[in-house]
Amino acid sequence: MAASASFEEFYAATVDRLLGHLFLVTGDLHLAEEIIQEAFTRASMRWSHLRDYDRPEAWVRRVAMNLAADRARSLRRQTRALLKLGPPPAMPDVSVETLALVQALRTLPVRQRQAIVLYYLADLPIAEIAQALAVPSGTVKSLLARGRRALAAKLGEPEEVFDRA
Amino acid sequence: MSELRERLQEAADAAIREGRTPTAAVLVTRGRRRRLRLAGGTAALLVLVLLAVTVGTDRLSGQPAPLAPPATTRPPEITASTSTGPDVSIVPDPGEVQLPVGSPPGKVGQGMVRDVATELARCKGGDPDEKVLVAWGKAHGQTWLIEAKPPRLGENWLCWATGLFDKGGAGSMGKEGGPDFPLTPLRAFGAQNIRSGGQYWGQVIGAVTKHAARVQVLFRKGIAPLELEPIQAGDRFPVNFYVGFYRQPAEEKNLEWWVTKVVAYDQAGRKVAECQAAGPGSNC
Repeated sequence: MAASASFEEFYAATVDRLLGHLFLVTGDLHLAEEIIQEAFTRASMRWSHLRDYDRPEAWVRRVAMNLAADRARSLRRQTRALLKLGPPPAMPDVSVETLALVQALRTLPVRQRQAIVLYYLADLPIAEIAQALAVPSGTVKSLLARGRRALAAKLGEPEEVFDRA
Repeated sequence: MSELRERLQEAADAAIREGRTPTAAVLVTRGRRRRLRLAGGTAALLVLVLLAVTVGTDRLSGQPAPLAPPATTRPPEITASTSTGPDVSIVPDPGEVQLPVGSPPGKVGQGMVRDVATELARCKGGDPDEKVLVAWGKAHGQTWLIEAKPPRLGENWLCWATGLFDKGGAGSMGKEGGPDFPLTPLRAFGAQNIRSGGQYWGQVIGAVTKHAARVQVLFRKGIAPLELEPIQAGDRFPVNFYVGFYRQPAEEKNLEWWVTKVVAYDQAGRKVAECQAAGPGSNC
């Protein structure tokens, strides 16, 4: 993204990608939309500074990931009630296998979800994930390993299926 | 390439395909408003600090600060009911939202209508070219709005959205209904901890079957039940709406909603629908 890009150009170039990431972290399309809107609203308020960043997208992603972690924490407190009376999370139309994966992903701790999405989907190197999540690189590796193992177990598949090529 | 990546990508692509995001201009406007609100708060704080410093300086320099006459300790007025209905202004058929007669006044009001319409546009379904301002009103320093899209043939859901704004136009919007929420005879949502006149207020807002002539809202902790008359939404909508405000005994810092149950009755007084708020979250 060029330093002179307008907020509108930046938004148009990045919003879809980040929405896809956030959907996988939250497991709920409506919640992902809300978080993305909030993160970009904050970005718009600081755009005069952010536009000079090498990668303003990284800033928005970090804000969005923090918001997602906050929401996950508050949702955990409500989980029992939500299971009883809350609507099911909003899901896009996907194959049965992918739906199973999204549902399995939702059961993981939010940090593991974030690490998996940033590594596999955003294709970020470990060091950058560590920066985005504000944790050491070793922690990222451990989050990824545990997340992969848990996903494989929940989906009844060998872990090698999820090893990165 | 791992299978995991492909499957994650498939899910992300589907979310992008079906996700609804507002235009950048909407977010910029929202950010601008928020900044103004923050600036207003900071300015007020600054004035208070300056005032405190001035008074402190006066006292230190031996000059007596001007004294106000002692406040009379008049007891607060006690009203018979803890609940009030809003001042409802119904716009039966304003057509597309273009500031119909009776919409919230001024540029701030226009912004409210637009903000709720933007939220409504995120809802999949209904006539995308028609967003109807069904009703709006003012209560306790807040302006509330309900907008909806007339459903298309075969849709068993309704896209509608609500907004609750303060005088400056800052507030919240919410998309209700949509394909994930098939129509039911009664739905209720709400907001709480609205600070006005030294009190905390809660709002209950919802959709109700057209068979209902009256909606009763029941609360916990001794708040008197609220009796509301549905707002007639017209033939193009399969439901009517209702809105009410109630006074909270205290600020609710937990997630529990003050509303416990909402019941709808028909003209003959027969119960036609009921929904129970059984836990955290302001909905039933």
